[in-house]
Amino acid sequence: MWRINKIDITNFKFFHETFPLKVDGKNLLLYGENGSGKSSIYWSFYTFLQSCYKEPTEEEARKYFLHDKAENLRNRFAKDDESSGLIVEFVNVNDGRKQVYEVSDTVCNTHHAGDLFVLTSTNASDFMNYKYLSSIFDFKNSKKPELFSLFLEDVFPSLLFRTADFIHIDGSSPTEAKSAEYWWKYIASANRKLPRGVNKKYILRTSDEHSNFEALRRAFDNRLEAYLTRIATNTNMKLKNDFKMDAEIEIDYKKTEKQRREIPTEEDGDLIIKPPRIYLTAKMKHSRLDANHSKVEHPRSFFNEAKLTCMAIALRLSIAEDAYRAVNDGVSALFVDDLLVSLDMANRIPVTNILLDMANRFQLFIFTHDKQFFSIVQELIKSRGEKDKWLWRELYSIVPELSEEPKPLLLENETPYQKALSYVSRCDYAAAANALRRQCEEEIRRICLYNDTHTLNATQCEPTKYMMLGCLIDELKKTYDKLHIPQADLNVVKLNLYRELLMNPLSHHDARSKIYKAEVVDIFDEVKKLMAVKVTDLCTLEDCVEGHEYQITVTDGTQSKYIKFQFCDIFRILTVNGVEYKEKTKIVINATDIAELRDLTKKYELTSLYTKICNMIWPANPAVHPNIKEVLVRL
Amino acid sequence: MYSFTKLKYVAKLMSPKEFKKSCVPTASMESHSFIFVPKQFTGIFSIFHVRESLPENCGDGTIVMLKDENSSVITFTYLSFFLNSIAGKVLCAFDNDKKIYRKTITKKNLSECIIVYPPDKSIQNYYGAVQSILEKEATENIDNKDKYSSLRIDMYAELRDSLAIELAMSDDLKKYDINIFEQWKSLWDKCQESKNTHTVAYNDLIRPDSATMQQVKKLRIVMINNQQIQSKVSEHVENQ
Repeated sequence: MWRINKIDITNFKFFHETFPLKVDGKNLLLYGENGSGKSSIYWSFYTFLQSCYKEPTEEEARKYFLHDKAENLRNRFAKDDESSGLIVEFVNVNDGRKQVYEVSDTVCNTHHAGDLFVLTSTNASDFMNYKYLSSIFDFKNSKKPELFSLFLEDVFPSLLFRTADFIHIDGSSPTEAKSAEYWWKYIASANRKLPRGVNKKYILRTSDEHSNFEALRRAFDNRLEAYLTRIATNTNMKLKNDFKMDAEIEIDYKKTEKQRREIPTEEDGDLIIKPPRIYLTAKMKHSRLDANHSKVEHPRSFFNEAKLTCMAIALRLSIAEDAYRAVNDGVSALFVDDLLVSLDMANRIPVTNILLDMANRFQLFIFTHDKQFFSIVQELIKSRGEKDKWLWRELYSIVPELSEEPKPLLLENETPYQKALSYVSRCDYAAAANALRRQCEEEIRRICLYNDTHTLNATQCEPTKYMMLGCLIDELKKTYDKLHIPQADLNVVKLNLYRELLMNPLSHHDARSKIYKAEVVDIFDEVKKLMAVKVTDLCTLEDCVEGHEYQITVTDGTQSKYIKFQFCDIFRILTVNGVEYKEKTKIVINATDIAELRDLTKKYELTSLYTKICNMIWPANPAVHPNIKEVLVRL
Repeated sequence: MYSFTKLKYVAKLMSPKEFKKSCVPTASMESHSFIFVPKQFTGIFSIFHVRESLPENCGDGTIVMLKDENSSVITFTYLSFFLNSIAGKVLCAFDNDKKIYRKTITKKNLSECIIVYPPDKSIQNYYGAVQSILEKEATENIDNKDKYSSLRIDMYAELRDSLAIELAMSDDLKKYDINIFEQWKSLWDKCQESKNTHTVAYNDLIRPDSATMQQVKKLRIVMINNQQIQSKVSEHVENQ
C-alpha cells in the first residue's frame, strides 16, 4: 500500500527556502496558528496533485513557481533566481519501495505517458476546507441553493467522466486527460467554434459540427445528472447510517440551455450556452410528515448549523469516496483544513469519529488552528487505539527580529510525559515536575468521568472549568472506591505528597522549594501506573438516549436468552493491572424472552443482571461466561 | 483468448428495403433479432439497437442480423453488446487516418468492422447480460424515465464500454492489473443466487467501493493518460 512519506516545499507560499515535512506514511494531525504556514502545506499538496491535470501539463503546472508568471505562488522573500517547487516522496509501506515526483520551476514529472502513479493518486485523493462547508448552504432565504459554480471550482477539476464518451465538435477525440471542468469550458465556448452561415453572425444549425455539439451537450448533461444522482444516493446512505440523521438531501439537476443572443456578433454568433443548475434541497424524514411538508427548499433557514454541517460533510465525503480507491498503484489521501470550525464540541466529536473512520480508506491529513480541537482529536485517536497510525505536529511562525522574515517552526507535539523525560535528561527537574503534573491531570481526566473532573458553573454563560490536581486525585480515589479497584493499585497518599512537595511548588516561581531528583524520578512510576489504566467506553453519553437500543444475547448453542435495552448512564470498563472493573450502570429493558424480567419500568444494574442471565445458561460454571464486551451489540 | 473476425463473416448485412422483402420472422429469438445502424452517424452516443420490427421512418441505414450458421459461435446479445459499445462504434465509425469519426457509416464500413469475441458462449453471456439490462432499462417506462433510471443506464453503459475496451485491448491493459470481466463475472454469478438479480447487481455497483466499478474507474484513469482511446482501440484490434 502506497502512502505519502514526505514533502519538501521550497520557496512556495509561506515557506522561504526548503521546508521538509516527513510523515513516514502515517496520517497527520497538524495544529497551526493562523499565519504559521498550515494552509500553505494544504495548498502545496493540492498544487502538486493537480499538476497532472494541467494542459499542456508541464508549462501550466510550472507557472506557479516561475517568478515572471502572474499566477506564481512563490514565497515573497525568495529572490527571482532562487528555485521554487514541491517534491513529494511516496513509500510503499509493505515493501519500503519509494517513488519521488517533482513540480517546480524547472521540472514537472507528475504526468508522463505510461506512468499513472500521480494521476491515479490525484484521482483517488480529495481536499476539503471550511470554505466549501460555509458556502454549500450559504444562501439567503429568498434564494434557492444552487451549487454549479461550487462544483465547477471544487469538484470538476478532478471529476473524470465515462471513458471515451466525449468527442470534440469536429469529430476528433481528445488526446490528454480531460476533466469535467475542461468539458464544461469547451461546451460553454463552443458557440465560437461552430460553423456560420452566409451571415457570419449566425450559427449554421444544419452542420455536422452543430449536431456533434448537441450530442456532446447531451452527453455532458446525462453524465453529470447520473453522477449527481449517485452522489445524492450515497450521501443519504451516509446521513442515515453514519450521521444517524433524520434528513436527506435532494439534488435537482437542470440541464444546460441554449439561448438566442439578442444581439448576435461575429465572434460569439447568435447563441448563448447557459450553465446547468444544481439545486440542493433537503427532506425531513418523519412518519408524521407528508411529502409536501417534508420538503425543505431552503435548508439554511430550517436546519441548525450542526445539521447543515453534517449534510455538507456527508455530501463532500460521498464525492471523495466516489473516486477510484488507489492501493497498490497510487495514494488515496484526504486533506481536511479546519473543516469543523462551525460545530460546537458536542457535535464535533461524533463527526470527528466519522472522519477518523475514513482512515480505513484514505491517508488522512487533518489541519486545524483550534488547539482544543487538536487535543480532542488526539484523545479520540488514542481511545480508538490508533495512535501508531498517526503523527501529530504543531506548526508555529517565529519572527526572530521584527525586521526579519517569519520562519516556520515544526514541533513534534510530545506528550507531557515525553517532555518530562527530556527535561530530566537535561537535569531540569522543575520543568519535569511541571510536565508530569500535566500528564497526571490528563490521565485522571481520562480515567474519571467528565462531570467528576470539571467544575460546572452556576451560570450557563461561563464555561465549565477544569478541576485542579488536588481535587482530581480525590475524584480518582472515589472512582476506584466505586468500582472496587484495590487501593494497592493506586497510591493516593504518594500522589498527594508528590503534588504538595514537588508538582505544585515546582510549577511556580518559588525559590525556597527544594528539588529532590530521586522523588521527581519516582513520580514517573506513579504517572506510568495511571497511563497503564485502559478505559473502554461501551456506551457513551451520546448513546444514553431514547432510541439508542442495545442487545445482549447469551447462548450455548442449545438454549439462548436475550435482552433488548437502553442505558440510563454511560457504561465503561476500566482495566487495571489486567483486571477488568465494570461500571455499575443501570438499564431499562425494552424486550426480553426471560419471563421474570418483563417489568419494563424497572431499572436493572447491568453487570449483575448479565451474571444472572449467564447463570441461567451455565448454572454452575461462571468461568465460561462470555465477556460482556463480546455479546453487547448496539442495534 | 479472444477471437477476431470481420462482421461480414458472422452477420448478414442488408438495407431496410432488402430486409423488409427477405426477412421472414421465425420462432427463434436469435434469428428474429437485428440491429439497425443508421447511415448518418451523429456522434457516438445514439443507441441503434431495435428489436421486433423496424420503424417506418428509420431512414437510410444497415440492418445487421446474425447468420444462422454462426449462432453456435456467437450469440446475438453478445453481438449487440459489442456493436453498441464504444469499441464497436470505434471499429465501424472511426477513421484512424483522419483521427475523426466518419459522418456516415456505409454497409461496407460495417462489413469490414472487426468483432472481438470470446470463443466460449457461456463467457459471451456475461457480456450479453450487461447489454440485456441496458436494453431493459432503455425500453421500460420509456415515457416516464426518472433520474434513477438515467443513473442505471449510465452506470451499465460505462460498464459495457469498459468491458468492451478490456476485450479489445486486453494485452495493453494487463500491465495495469485491470480485470473488469472477472469482477463482473463474480458479481453476476452472485446475482443469480437471488430472485431479484438486477437489484442485487445495482446495489453492488452503486456502492463507492464496488470491486467491479473500482476496476472501471481504474480503466478510466488509464485511458485518459495521454491516450487517444479511439486510435488505441482501432490500432490494437487491427494489429491482431
